[in-house]
Amino acid sequence: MALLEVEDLVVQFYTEDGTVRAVDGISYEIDRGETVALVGESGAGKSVTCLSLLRLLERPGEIVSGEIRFDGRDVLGLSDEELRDLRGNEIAMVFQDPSAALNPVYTVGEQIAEAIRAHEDVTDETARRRAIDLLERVEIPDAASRYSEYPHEFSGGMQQRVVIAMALSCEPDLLVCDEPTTALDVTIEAGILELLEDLAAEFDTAIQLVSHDLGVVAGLCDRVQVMYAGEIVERAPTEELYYDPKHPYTVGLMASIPRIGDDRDELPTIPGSMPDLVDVPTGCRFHPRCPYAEEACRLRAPSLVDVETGVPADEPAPNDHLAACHEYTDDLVDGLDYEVVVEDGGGLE
Amino acid sequence: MRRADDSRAVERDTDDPFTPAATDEGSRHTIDWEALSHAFLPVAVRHRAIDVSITTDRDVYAPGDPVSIGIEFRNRLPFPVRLRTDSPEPWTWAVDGATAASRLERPIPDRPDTFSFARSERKRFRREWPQRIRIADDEWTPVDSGQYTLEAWINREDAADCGLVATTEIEIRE
Repeated sequence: MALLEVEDLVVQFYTEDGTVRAVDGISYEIDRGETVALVGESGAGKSVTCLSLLRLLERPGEIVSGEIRFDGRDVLGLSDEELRDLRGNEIAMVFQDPSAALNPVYTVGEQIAEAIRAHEDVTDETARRRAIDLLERVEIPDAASRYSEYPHEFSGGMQQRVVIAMALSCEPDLLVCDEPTTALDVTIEAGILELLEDLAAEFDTAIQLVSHDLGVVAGLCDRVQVMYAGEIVERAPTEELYYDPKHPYTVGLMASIPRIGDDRDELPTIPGSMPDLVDVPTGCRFHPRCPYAEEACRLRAPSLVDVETGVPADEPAPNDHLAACHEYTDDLVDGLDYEVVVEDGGGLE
Repeated sequence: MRRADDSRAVERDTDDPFTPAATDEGSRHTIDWEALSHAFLPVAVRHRAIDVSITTDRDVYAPGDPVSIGIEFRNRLPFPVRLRTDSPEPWTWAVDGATAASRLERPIPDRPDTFSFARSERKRFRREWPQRIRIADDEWTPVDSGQYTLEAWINREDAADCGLVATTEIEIRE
Protein backbone atom coordinates (compact mmCIF):
# COMPACT_ATOMS: atom_id res chain seq x y z
CA MET A 1 0.00 0.00 0.00
CA ALA A 2 1.35 3.42 -0.97
CA LEU A 3 1.77 6.12 1.68
CA LEU A 4 -0.50 8.54 -0.18
CA GLU A 5 -3.19 7.51 -2.63
CA VAL A 6 -5.20 10.10 -4.51
CA GLU A 7 -8.01 8.69 -6.59
CA ASP A 8 -10.16 10.54 -9.10
CA LEU A 9 -9.93 13.81 -7.17
CA VAL A 10 -12.21 16.61 -8.38
CA VAL A 11 -12.00 20.12 -6.92
CA GLN A 12 -14.30 22.95 -7.96
CA PHE A 13 -14.44 26.67 -7.17
CA TYR A 14 -17.73 28.47 -7.52
CA THR A 15 -17.24 32.00 -8.82
CA GLU A 16 -19.55 34.59 -10.37
CA ASP A 17 -17.91 33.84 -13.71
CA GLY A 18 -18.86 30.17 -13.42
CA THR A 19 -17.62 26.91 -11.98
CA VAL A 20 -13.87 26.49 -12.10
CA ARG A 21 -12.92 22.82 -12.17
CA ALA A 22 -9.39 23.36 -10.89
CA VAL A 23 -8.59 19.66 -10.47
CA ASP A 24 -10.42 17.24 -12.72
CA GLY A 25 -10.22 13.58 -11.83
CA ILE A 26 -6.54 13.16 -11.07
CA SER A 27 -5.14 9.96 -9.53
CA TYR A 28 -1.66 9.25 -8.25
CA GLU A 29 0.21 7.68 -5.38
CA ILE A 30 3.40 8.34 -3.44
CA ASP A 31 5.38 5.64 -1.65
CA ARG A 32 7.33 6.10 1.57
CA GLY A 33 10.59 7.99 1.09
CA GLU A 34 9.76 8.79 -2.53
CA THR A 35 10.04 12.25 -4.09
CA VAL A 36 7.37 13.01 -6.66
CA ALA A 37 6.97 16.23 -8.62
CA LEU A 38 3.86 17.93 -9.93
CA VAL A 39 4.86 20.29 -12.73
CA GLY A 40 2.96 22.58 -15.04
CA GLU A 41 2.20 26.21 -15.79
CA SER A 42 0.48 28.55 -13.39
CA GLY A 43 -3.20 27.67 -13.14
CA ALA A 44 -2.70 23.96 -13.88
CA GLY A 45 -4.10 22.95 -10.48
CA LYS A 46 -0.85 22.00 -8.72
CA SER A 47 -1.29 24.13 -5.61
CA VAL A 48 -4.98 23.27 -5.32
CA THR A 49 -4.02 19.60 -5.34
CA CYS A 50 -1.56 20.22 -2.48
CA LEU A 51 -4.10 22.15 -0.41
CA SER A 52 -6.66 19.39 -0.97
CA LEU A 53 -4.35 16.80 0.59
CA LEU A 54 -4.57 18.65 3.91
CA ARG A 55 -8.16 19.82 3.36
CA LEU A 56 -6.95 23.39 3.46
CA LEU A 57 -9.17 24.61 0.63
CA GLU A 58 -11.26 27.59 1.54
CA ARG A 59 -14.58 28.77 0.21
CA PRO A 60 -15.49 29.01 -2.66
CA GLY A 61 -13.38 25.91 -3.31
CA GLU A 62 -14.48 22.40 -2.41
CA ILE A 63 -13.58 18.80 -3.03
CA VAL A 64 -16.50 17.50 -5.07
CA SER A 65 -15.53 13.86 -5.39
CA GLY A 66 -12.66 11.43 -5.19
CA GLU A 67 -10.65 9.86 -2.44
CA ILE A 68 -7.48 10.80 -0.59
CA ARG A 69 -6.00 8.00 1.52
CA PHE A 70 -2.99 8.56 3.71
CA ASP A 71 -1.43 5.48 5.23
CA GLY A 72 -4.71 3.70 4.56
CA ARG A 73 -6.88 6.34 6.27
CA ASP A 74 -9.56 8.28 4.40
CA VAL A 75 -8.42 11.92 4.76
CA LEU A 76 -11.75 13.28 3.53
CA GLY A 77 -13.57 11.38 6.29
CA LEU A 78 -11.39 12.55 9.20
CA SER A 79 -12.92 14.58 12.03
CA ASP A 80 -11.55 18.07 12.77
CA GLU A 81 -9.54 16.69 15.67
CA GLU A 82 -8.07 13.86 13.61
CA LEU A 83 -7.28 16.34 10.87
CA ARG A 84 -5.41 18.63 13.29
CA ASP A 85 -3.40 15.63 14.37
CA LEU A 86 -2.60 14.74 10.76
CA ARG A 87 -1.54 18.26 9.76
CA GLY A 88 2.03 19.01 10.70
CA ASN A 89 2.46 15.67 12.42
CA GLU A 90 2.11 13.27 9.50
CA ILE A 91 1.76 15.56 6.49
CA ALA A 92 3.57 18.91 6.66
CA MET A 93 3.57 21.68 4.11
CA VAL A 94 6.20 24.15 2.95
CA PHE A 95 4.55 27.13 1.30
CA GLN A 96 5.80 29.26 -1.54
CA ASP A 97 6.37 32.53 0.30
CA PRO A 98 8.17 32.04 3.64
CA SER A 99 7.58 35.64 4.74
CA ALA A 100 3.83 35.03 4.50
CA ALA A 101 4.04 31.61 6.16
CA LEU A 102 5.79 32.93 9.29
CA ASN A 103 4.05 35.00 11.93
CA PRO A 104 5.91 38.34 12.04
CA VAL A 105 5.22 39.01 15.74
CA TYR A 106 6.63 35.78 17.17
CA THR A 107 10.23 34.65 17.22
CA VAL A 108 11.16 31.96 14.72
CA GLY A 109 12.20 29.58 17.50
CA GLU A 110 8.88 30.00 19.27
CA GLN A 111 7.02 29.20 16.08
CA ILE A 112 8.93 25.93 15.64
CA ALA A 113 8.54 25.06 19.34
CA GLU A 114 4.79 25.73 19.08
CA ALA A 115 4.49 23.15 16.28
CA ILE A 116 6.27 20.60 18.49
CA ARG A 117 4.13 21.40 21.56
CA ALA A 118 0.95 21.18 19.49
CA HIS A 119 1.62 17.56 18.55
CA GLU A 120 3.71 16.14 21.35
CA ASP A 121 3.51 16.15 25.12
CA VAL A 122 6.85 17.79 25.83
CA THR A 123 8.07 20.39 28.30
CA ASP A 124 8.81 23.93 27.15
CA GLU A 125 12.51 23.31 27.61
CA THR A 126 12.45 20.14 25.50
CA ALA A 127 10.51 21.92 22.74
CA ARG A 128 13.04 24.75 22.83
CA ARG A 129 15.99 22.36 22.64
CA ARG A 130 14.44 20.50 19.72
CA ALA A 131 13.69 23.77 17.93
CA ILE A 132 17.31 24.85 18.27
CA ASP A 133 18.44 21.45 17.07
CA LEU A 134 16.18 21.77 14.02
CA LEU A 135 17.51 25.26 13.28
CA GLU A 136 21.01 23.78 13.33
CA ARG A 137 19.97 20.96 11.01
CA VAL A 138 18.67 23.45 8.44
CA GLU A 139 22.02 25.22 8.76
CA ILE A 140 20.99 28.39 10.52
CA PRO A 141 24.27 29.63 12.04
CA ASP A 142 24.36 30.34 15.76
CA ALA A 143 20.96 28.69 16.16
CA ALA A 144 20.67 29.16 19.94
CA SER A 145 20.82 32.95 19.72
CA ARG A 146 18.80 33.19 16.52
CA TYR A 147 16.01 31.21 18.20
CA SER A 148 14.87 34.49 19.74
CA GLU A 149 14.96 36.56 16.56
CA TYR A 150 11.93 37.60 14.52
CA PRO A 151 11.28 36.63 10.88
CA HIS A 152 12.15 40.12 9.58
CA GLU A 153 15.68 39.62 10.94
CA PHE A 154 16.18 36.67 8.55
CA SER A 155 16.88 36.73 4.80
CA GLY A 156 14.40 35.07 2.41
CA GLY A 157 16.51 31.91 2.16
CA MET A 158 16.87 31.66 5.93
CA GLN A 159 13.13 32.21 6.39
CA GLN A 160 12.45 29.31 4.03
CA ARG A 161 14.90 27.18 6.07
CA VAL A 162 12.91 28.06 9.18
CA VAL A 163 9.68 27.03 7.45
CA ILE A 164 11.31 23.74 6.45
CA ALA A 165 12.53 23.24 10.04
CA MET A 166 8.98 23.85 11.25
CA ALA A 167 7.60 21.37 8.70
CA LEU A 168 10.12 18.73 9.80
CA SER A 169 9.64 19.39 13.50
CA CYS A 170 7.37 16.38 14.01
CA GLU A 171 9.19 14.19 11.50
CA PRO A 172 6.25 13.92 9.08
CA ASP A 173 5.91 10.99 6.70
CA LEU A 174 5.04 13.32 3.82
CA LEU A 175 6.31 16.80 3.09
CA VAL A 176 4.25 18.80 0.60
CA CYS A 177 6.43 21.55 -0.89
CA ASP A 178 4.47 24.07 -2.93
CA GLU A 179 7.09 25.86 -5.03
CA PRO A 180 9.47 26.17 -2.07
CA THR A 181 12.13 28.04 -4.03
CA THR A 182 10.08 30.33 -6.26
CA ALA A 183 10.60 33.35 -4.02
CA LEU A 184 14.34 32.77 -3.73
CA ASP A 185 17.31 33.57 -5.97
CA VAL A 186 19.08 30.71 -7.76
CA THR A 187 22.04 30.28 -5.40
CA ILE A 188 19.78 30.10 -2.36
CA GLU A 189 17.47 27.81 -4.34
CA ALA A 190 20.26 25.30 -4.89
CA GLY A 191 21.03 25.28 -1.16
CA ILE A 192 17.39 24.75 -0.19
CA LEU A 193 16.97 21.90 -2.67
CA GLU A 194 20.10 20.19 -1.41
CA LEU A 195 18.81 20.62 2.12
CA LEU A 196 15.43 19.09 1.23
CA GLU A 197 17.14 16.13 -0.39
CA ASP A 198 19.40 15.52 2.61
CA LEU A 199 16.61 15.90 5.13
CA ALA A 200 14.25 13.65 3.17
CA ALA A 201 16.92 10.96 3.18
CA GLU A 202 17.70 11.47 6.87
CA PHE A 203 14.07 11.38 8.04
CA ASP A 204 12.89 8.94 5.30
CA THR A 205 10.26 11.51 4.42
CA ALA A 206 8.32 11.34 1.14
CA ILE A 207 8.13 14.65 -0.72
CA GLN A 208 5.49 15.96 -3.08
CA LEU A 209 7.22 18.83 -4.83
CA VAL A 210 5.22 21.35 -6.83
CA SER A 211 7.21 23.37 -9.29
CA HIS A 212 7.08 24.97 -12.69
CA ASP A 213 10.86 24.78 -12.85
CA LEU A 214 11.88 21.58 -14.62
CA GLY A 215 15.52 22.08 -13.61
CA VAL A 216 14.57 21.92 -9.94
CA VAL A 217 12.55 18.77 -10.52
CA ALA A 218 15.34 17.02 -12.44
CA GLY A 219 17.71 17.43 -9.54
CA LEU A 220 15.44 16.24 -6.77
CA CYS A 221 12.62 13.93 -7.87
CA ASP A 222 12.22 10.22 -8.56
CA ARG A 223 9.06 10.63 -10.60
CA VAL A 224 7.29 13.48 -12.39
CA GLN A 225 3.64 14.15 -13.12
CA VAL A 226 2.86 16.87 -15.64
CA MET A 227 -0.39 18.74 -15.05
CA TYR A 228 -2.30 20.78 -17.61
CA ALA A 229 -5.65 22.51 -17.05
CA GLY A 230 -6.52 20.42 -13.99
CA GLU A 231 -5.53 17.05 -15.43
CA ILE A 232 -2.42 14.88 -15.35
CA VAL A 233 -1.28 14.62 -18.97
CA GLU A 234 1.91 12.63 -18.46
CA ARG A 235 3.64 10.74 -15.67
CA ALA A 236 6.94 8.90 -15.74
CA PRO A 237 10.18 8.35 -13.84
CA THR A 238 12.15 11.62 -14.02
CA GLU A 239 14.92 10.46 -16.32
CA GLU A 240 12.51 8.82 -18.74
CA LEU A 241 10.33 11.92 -18.89
CA TYR A 242 13.29 14.18 -19.58
CA TYR A 243 14.93 11.99 -22.21
CA ASP A 244 11.79 10.62 -23.79
CA PRO A 245 8.83 12.98 -23.27
CA LYS A 246 5.65 11.59 -24.80
CA HIS A 247 3.05 14.36 -24.50
CA PRO A 248 3.32 17.41 -26.79
CA TYR A 249 2.87 19.69 -23.76
CA THR A 250 5.83 18.08 -21.98
CA VAL A 251 7.86 18.40 -25.17
CA GLY A 252 6.98 22.12 -25.30
CA LEU A 253 8.01 22.57 -21.67
CA MET A 254 11.32 20.81 -22.28
CA ALA A 255 12.06 22.89 -25.37
CA SER A 256 11.51 26.10 -23.44
CA ILE A 257 14.25 25.37 -20.87
CA PRO A 258 17.21 27.71 -21.40
CA ARG A 259 20.60 25.95 -21.65
CA ILE A 260 24.15 27.14 -21.13
CA GLY A 261 25.85 27.52 -24.49
CA ASP A 262 22.55 27.75 -26.34
CA ASP A 263 23.08 29.85 -29.47
CA ARG A 264 19.40 30.32 -30.33
CA ASP A 265 18.25 33.95 -30.47
CA GLU A 266 14.87 33.12 -28.93
CA LEU A 267 13.68 30.32 -26.71
CA PRO A 268 10.82 28.33 -28.22
CA THR A 269 7.58 28.80 -26.30
CA ILE A 270 4.25 27.02 -26.30
CA PRO A 271 1.90 29.33 -28.22
CA GLY A 272 -1.18 30.62 -26.40
CA SER A 273 -1.87 30.26 -22.72
CA MET A 274 -3.53 27.93 -20.24
CA PRO A 275 -7.29 27.82 -20.97
CA ASP A 276 -9.80 29.49 -18.69
CA LEU A 277 -10.94 26.62 -16.46
CA VAL A 278 -14.48 28.01 -16.48
CA ASP A 279 -14.71 27.31 -20.20
CA VAL A 280 -12.22 24.57 -21.10
CA PRO A 281 -11.68 23.47 -24.71
CA THR A 282 -13.59 20.43 -25.94
CA GLY A 283 -11.74 17.15 -26.42
CA CYS A 284 -8.08 17.30 -25.44
CA ARG A 285 -7.64 20.48 -23.39
CA PHE A 286 -4.23 21.09 -24.95
CA HIS A 287 -5.47 20.92 -28.57
CA PRO A 288 -5.74 24.72 -29.19
CA ARG A 289 -2.00 25.01 -28.43
CA CYS A 290 -0.84 21.70 -29.84
CA PRO A 291 1.03 21.79 -33.17
CA TYR A 292 -0.06 18.21 -33.91
CA ALA A 293 -3.79 18.61 -33.12
CA GLU A 294 -6.23 16.87 -35.46
CA GLU A 295 -10.03 16.54 -35.60
CA ALA A 296 -9.97 13.64 -33.11
CA CYS A 297 -8.30 15.92 -30.54
CA ARG A 298 -11.19 18.40 -30.76
CA LEU A 299 -13.90 15.75 -30.36
CA ARG A 300 -12.50 13.23 -27.87
CA ALA A 301 -10.67 13.62 -24.57
CA PRO A 302 -7.68 11.26 -24.48
CA SER A 303 -7.29 8.88 -21.53
CA LEU A 304 -4.07 8.51 -19.59
CA VAL A 305 -2.65 5.37 -21.22
CA ASP A 306 0.53 3.33 -21.11
CA VAL A 307 2.65 4.76 -23.93
CA GLU A 308 3.83 1.31 -25.00
CA THR A 309 0.54 -0.59 -25.04
CA GLY A 310 -2.01 2.24 -25.41
CA VAL A 311 -4.08 0.60 -22.68
CA PRO A 312 -5.57 2.78 -19.92
CA ALA A 313 -3.78 1.96 -16.70
CA ASP A 314 -6.30 1.43 -13.90
CA GLU A 315 -3.65 0.65 -11.31
CA PRO A 316 -0.37 1.76 -12.84
CA ALA A 317 2.95 0.77 -11.33
CA PRO A 318 4.98 3.76 -10.05
CA ASN A 319 7.49 3.50 -12.88
CA ASP A 320 4.98 3.14 -15.72
CA HIS A 321 5.19 5.82 -18.38
CA LEU A 322 1.69 7.16 -19.06
CA ALA A 323 0.51 9.95 -21.34
CA ALA A 324 -2.88 11.39 -22.29
CA CYS A 325 -2.53 11.78 -26.04
CA HIS A 326 -4.42 10.16 -28.93
CA GLU A 327 -1.06 9.22 -30.47
CA TYR A 328 -0.79 6.24 -28.14
CA THR A 329 -4.22 4.87 -28.97
CA ASP A 330 -3.50 5.20 -32.70
CA ASP A 331 -6.19 7.83 -33.16
CA LEU A 332 -3.94 10.41 -34.84
CA VAL A 333 -3.69 10.27 -38.64
CA ASP A 334 -0.40 12.13 -38.98
CA GLY A 335 0.96 11.39 -35.52
CA LEU A 336 3.43 13.35 -33.47
CA ASP A 337 6.44 14.67 -35.31
CA TYR A 338 9.22 15.74 -33.00
CA GLU A 339 12.66 14.53 -32.20
CA VAL A 340 14.45 14.56 -28.88
CA VAL A 341 18.16 15.21 -29.31
CA VAL A 342 20.37 14.49 -26.31
CA GLU A 343 23.53 16.53 -26.58
CA ASP A 344 26.87 15.51 -25.08
CA GLY A 345 26.30 17.71 -22.07
CA GLY A 346 23.00 15.99 -21.41
CA GLY A 347 20.84 18.86 -22.67
CA LEU A 348 17.72 18.32 -24.74
CA GLU A 349 16.66 20.02 -27.91
CA MET B 1 8.94 34.95 26.28
CA ARG B 2 5.52 35.18 24.68
CA ARG B 3 4.16 31.91 23.43
CA ALA B 4 2.15 31.80 20.21
CA ASP B 5 -0.48 29.55 21.78
CA ASP B 6 -0.94 31.91 24.73
CA SER B 7 -1.68 34.91 22.59
CA ARG B 8 -5.51 34.85 22.82
CA ALA B 9 -5.21 36.46 19.42
CA VAL B 10 -8.94 36.64 18.86
CA GLU B 11 -9.50 38.78 21.96
CA ARG B 12 -9.32 42.54 22.12
CA ASP B 13 -6.82 43.81 24.64
CA THR B 14 -5.80 47.45 24.54
CA ASP B 15 -2.85 46.76 26.83
CA ASP B 16 -1.37 44.28 24.43
CA PRO B 17 -0.19 45.84 21.17
CA PHE B 18 0.34 42.44 19.56
CA THR B 19 -3.28 41.41 19.84
CA PRO B 20 -5.23 42.29 16.70
CA ALA B 21 -8.47 44.22 17.09
CA ALA B 22 -11.52 42.02 16.67
CA THR B 23 -13.44 44.83 14.98
CA ASP B 24 -12.53 48.12 13.47
CA GLU B 25 -13.77 50.94 15.71
CA GLY B 26 -14.85 53.00 12.68
CA SER B 27 -16.90 50.20 11.18
CA ARG B 28 -19.39 50.41 14.03
CA HIS B 29 -20.93 53.49 12.44
CA THR B 30 -21.07 52.29 8.83
CA ILE B 31 -24.21 50.85 7.32
CA ASP B 32 -24.30 47.53 5.50
CA TRP B 33 -26.36 48.82 2.59
CA GLU B 34 -26.58 45.44 0.97
CA ALA B 35 -28.14 43.85 4.06
CA LEU B 36 -30.43 46.85 4.58
CA SER B 37 -31.59 46.80 0.98
CA HIS B 38 -32.13 43.03 1.17
CA ALA B 39 -34.22 43.44 4.33
CA PHE B 40 -36.50 46.16 3.00
CA LEU B 41 -36.75 45.45 -0.73
CA PRO B 42 -39.79 43.31 -1.61
CA VAL B 43 -38.88 40.04 -3.31
CA ALA B 44 -40.81 40.87 -6.47
CA VAL B 45 -38.94 44.16 -6.84
CA ARG B 46 -35.60 42.38 -6.40
CA HIS B 47 -36.44 40.06 -9.30
CA ARG B 48 -37.56 42.89 -11.52
CA ALA B 49 -34.44 44.86 -10.69
CA ILE B 50 -32.12 42.46 -12.51
CA ASP B 51 -32.02 42.60 -16.27
CA VAL B 52 -30.53 39.56 -18.03
CA SER B 53 -29.29 39.79 -21.60
CA ILE B 54 -27.42 37.49 -23.98
CA THR B 55 -25.74 38.57 -27.21
CA THR B 56 -23.49 37.07 -29.87
CA ASP B 57 -20.91 38.77 -32.07
CA ARG B 58 -22.79 37.73 -35.26
CA ASP B 59 -26.18 36.34 -36.26
CA VAL B 60 -24.92 33.87 -38.85
CA TYR B 61 -21.90 31.60 -38.54
CA ALA B 62 -20.13 29.25 -40.90
CA PRO B 63 -19.89 25.65 -39.63
CA GLY B 64 -17.04 25.32 -37.15
CA ASP B 65 -16.70 29.05 -36.46
CA PRO B 66 -16.61 29.67 -32.72
CA VAL B 67 -19.63 31.57 -31.41
CA SER B 68 -18.64 34.35 -29.03
CA ILE B 69 -21.38 34.80 -26.44
CA GLY B 70 -21.76 37.79 -24.12
CA ILE B 71 -23.95 37.51 -21.03
CA GLU B 72 -24.83 40.57 -18.99
CA PHE B 73 -26.66 40.97 -15.70
CA ARG B 74 -27.58 44.55 -14.80
CA ASN B 75 -29.02 45.93 -11.61
CA ARG B 76 -31.50 48.60 -12.69
CA LEU B 77 -31.86 50.01 -9.19
CA PRO B 78 -29.61 52.61 -7.51
CA PHE B 79 -29.23 50.40 -4.45
CA PRO B 80 -27.77 46.93 -3.84
CA VAL B 81 -29.76 43.80 -4.69
CA ARG B 82 -29.15 40.25 -3.56
CA LEU B 83 -30.90 37.28 -5.16
CA ARG B 84 -31.18 33.78 -3.80
CA THR B 85 -29.94 31.07 -6.18
CA ASP B 86 -30.58 27.32 -6.09
CA SER B 87 -26.89 26.43 -6.36
CA PRO B 88 -23.47 28.05 -5.76
CA GLU B 89 -23.23 28.51 -9.53
CA PRO B 90 -25.14 31.80 -9.85
CA TRP B 91 -26.05 31.59 -13.53
CA THR B 92 -25.91 29.19 -16.46
CA TRP B 93 -26.14 29.27 -20.23
CA ALA B 94 -27.40 26.68 -22.67
CA VAL B 95 -27.63 26.00 -26.35
CA ASP B 96 -30.90 24.38 -27.47
CA GLY B 97 -31.44 23.13 -23.92
CA ALA B 98 -27.93 21.67 -23.51
CA THR B 99 -26.61 23.36 -20.37
CA ALA B 100 -23.13 24.76 -21.02
CA ALA B 101 -23.28 22.90 -24.35
CA SER B 102 -23.37 19.53 -22.61
CA ARG B 103 -25.97 16.74 -22.55
CA LEU B 104 -24.41 15.38 -19.34
CA GLU B 105 -25.61 16.11 -15.85
CA ARG B 106 -23.33 18.72 -14.30
CA PRO B 107 -21.84 18.03 -10.87
CA ILE B 108 -23.01 21.23 -9.21
CA PRO B 109 -24.22 20.85 -5.62
CA ASP B 110 -27.87 21.44 -4.88
CA ARG B 111 -27.54 24.01 -2.11
CA PRO B 112 -28.81 27.58 -2.03
CA ASP B 113 -26.48 30.53 -2.40
CA THR B 114 -26.78 34.19 -3.42
CA PHE B 115 -25.95 36.41 -6.39
CA SER B 116 -25.23 39.97 -5.24
CA PHE B 117 -25.19 43.23 -7.14
CA ALA B 118 -23.95 46.63 -6.02
CA ARG B 119 -26.11 49.64 -6.92
CA SER B 120 -26.56 49.92 -10.71
CA GLU B 121 -23.90 47.25 -11.19
CA ARG B 122 -23.38 45.45 -14.49
CA LYS B 123 -21.73 42.03 -14.52
CA ARG B 124 -20.49 40.89 -17.90
CA PHE B 125 -19.29 37.38 -18.74
CA ARG B 126 -18.10 35.74 -21.94
CA ARG B 127 -18.28 32.21 -23.27
CA GLU B 128 -17.09 30.72 -26.52
CA TRP B 129 -19.11 27.94 -28.09
CA PRO B 130 -17.08 25.97 -30.65
CA GLN B 131 -20.28 24.53 -32.21
CA ARG B 132 -19.78 21.25 -30.41
CA ILE B 133 -22.02 19.51 -27.85
CA ARG B 134 -20.69 17.21 -25.16
CA ILE B 135 -22.41 13.84 -25.41
CA ALA B 136 -20.24 11.70 -23.10
CA ASP B 137 -17.57 12.21 -20.47
CA ASP B 138 -14.88 12.14 -23.11
CA GLU B 139 -16.78 12.84 -26.32
CA TRP B 140 -18.20 15.87 -28.16
CA THR B 141 -20.08 16.04 -31.43
CA PRO B 142 -20.21 18.93 -33.94
CA VAL B 143 -23.67 20.38 -34.51
CA ASP B 144 -25.37 20.52 -37.91
CA SER B 145 -26.34 23.64 -39.81
CA GLY B 146 -29.54 25.31 -38.67
CA GLN B 147 -31.06 27.66 -36.11
CA TYR B 148 -29.89 27.47 -32.50
CA THR B 149 -31.30 29.14 -29.42
CA LEU B 150 -28.83 30.40 -26.86
CA GLU B 151 -30.16 31.03 -23.40
CA ALA B 152 -28.80 32.44 -20.13
CA TRP B 153 -30.55 32.49 -16.78
CA ILE B 154 -30.01 33.00 -13.10
CA ASN B 155 -30.01 29.62 -11.37
CA ARG B 156 -33.45 29.56 -9.80
CA GLU B 157 -36.29 27.20 -10.44
CA ASP B 158 -38.61 30.17 -10.99
CA ALA B 159 -36.15 32.09 -13.20
CA ALA B 160 -38.52 32.15 -16.17
CA ASP B 161 -41.48 33.36 -14.05
CA CYS B 162 -39.30 36.09 -12.51
CA GLY B 163 -37.97 37.34 -15.82
CA LEU B 164 -34.44 36.24 -15.03
CA VAL B 165 -33.91 34.54 -18.39
CA ALA B 166 -32.68 35.87 -21.74
CA THR B 167 -32.50 34.17 -25.14
CA THR B 168 -31.11 34.87 -28.57
CA GLU B 169 -30.94 32.95 -31.82
CA ILE B 170 -28.13 32.27 -34.23
CA GLU B 171 -27.93 30.45 -37.51
CA ILE B 172 -25.20 28.11 -38.66
CA ARG B 173 -25.14 28.15 -42.45
CA GLU B 174 -22.78 26.72 -45.10
